[in-house]
Amino acid sequence: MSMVILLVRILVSVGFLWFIVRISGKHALGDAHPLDFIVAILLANLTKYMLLGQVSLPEGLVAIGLLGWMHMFVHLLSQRSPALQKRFWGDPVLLVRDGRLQRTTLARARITYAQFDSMLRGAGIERLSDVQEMRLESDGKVSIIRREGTRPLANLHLLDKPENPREEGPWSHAA
Amino acid sequence: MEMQVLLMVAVRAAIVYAFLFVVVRLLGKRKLGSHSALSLVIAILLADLASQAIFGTVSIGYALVAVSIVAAMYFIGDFFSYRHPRLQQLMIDEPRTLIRDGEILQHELAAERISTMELWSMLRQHGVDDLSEVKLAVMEPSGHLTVIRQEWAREALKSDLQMMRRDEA
Repeated sequence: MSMVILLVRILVSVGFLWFIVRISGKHALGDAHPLDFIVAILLANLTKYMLLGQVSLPEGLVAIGLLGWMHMFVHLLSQRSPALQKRFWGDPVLLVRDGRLQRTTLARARITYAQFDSMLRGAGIERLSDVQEMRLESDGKVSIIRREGTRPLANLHLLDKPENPREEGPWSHAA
Repeated sequence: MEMQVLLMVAVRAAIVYAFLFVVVRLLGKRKLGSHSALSLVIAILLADLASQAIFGTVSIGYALVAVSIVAAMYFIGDFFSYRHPRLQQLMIDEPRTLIRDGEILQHELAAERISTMELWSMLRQHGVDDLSEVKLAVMEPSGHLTVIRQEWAREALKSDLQMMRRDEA
């Protein structure tokens, strides 16, 4: 295949890849959720086949377009409906509540005690009693809310928090 | 014969590595990677092309030309979007504010196709469980949420302690 054809193939395939990535939005492709990451790799892989002429241009465009559109659609649906959100991406799992380890949920999430300890150390926490809530979020990352007394000092000039009703996040089903 | 094949793979791998090294260096610091979704996909694409060159499923010259052109396109797009803000808006997603002064901006959330549950999950990863603490939460082009806390919810600094001591004196 001549270099001119290669150039045309690259222009078309990379241009289309850019278009799909651009309309997918920041959140849909990236390292946030494993599926987003895998789709990013998959799109790059399909582009490579198209670019090297191992599949025809129309085949490549259909595959990349459909895959990108489906992934975008899944994100759109889960944005619209909390039920689908849970179905698609899973529920956050509560690992610690009020400084107490939730052994059953830890087992269900298949997290070993060694892994759990390393997560705590990663957050700079020595004692479990410092943790108010610890969750395994649906993107596979861990979130930790420290107990009120063990949080870093809030700004000393303005120690008093304005009187606002506290607005808390939705609780996980797992307890 | 078998040894020869293995030797060829090793030689090609060395050439491809050296070539990728030069290309990524030329693109500049932190250009490829998870800076934006596009740069992540381009980085994977370059790796993918390189892997074909190593196993010789396409000729090495051909694959390296393809790597160069893709990298050059990326460089040109990056170069011009840096010069022209208009073009940048078209090329790259802009950061989008999702929470301002403790209030979730629902239409912005919908525009990014992020559900309230996902937003809370990202907030908790910043140690936030109280919305009123949040002054600003922005979805960055990398797909990560950045959070700026209200003044009263920020950590105390050394200068705060010094100021308190001065007030006492």
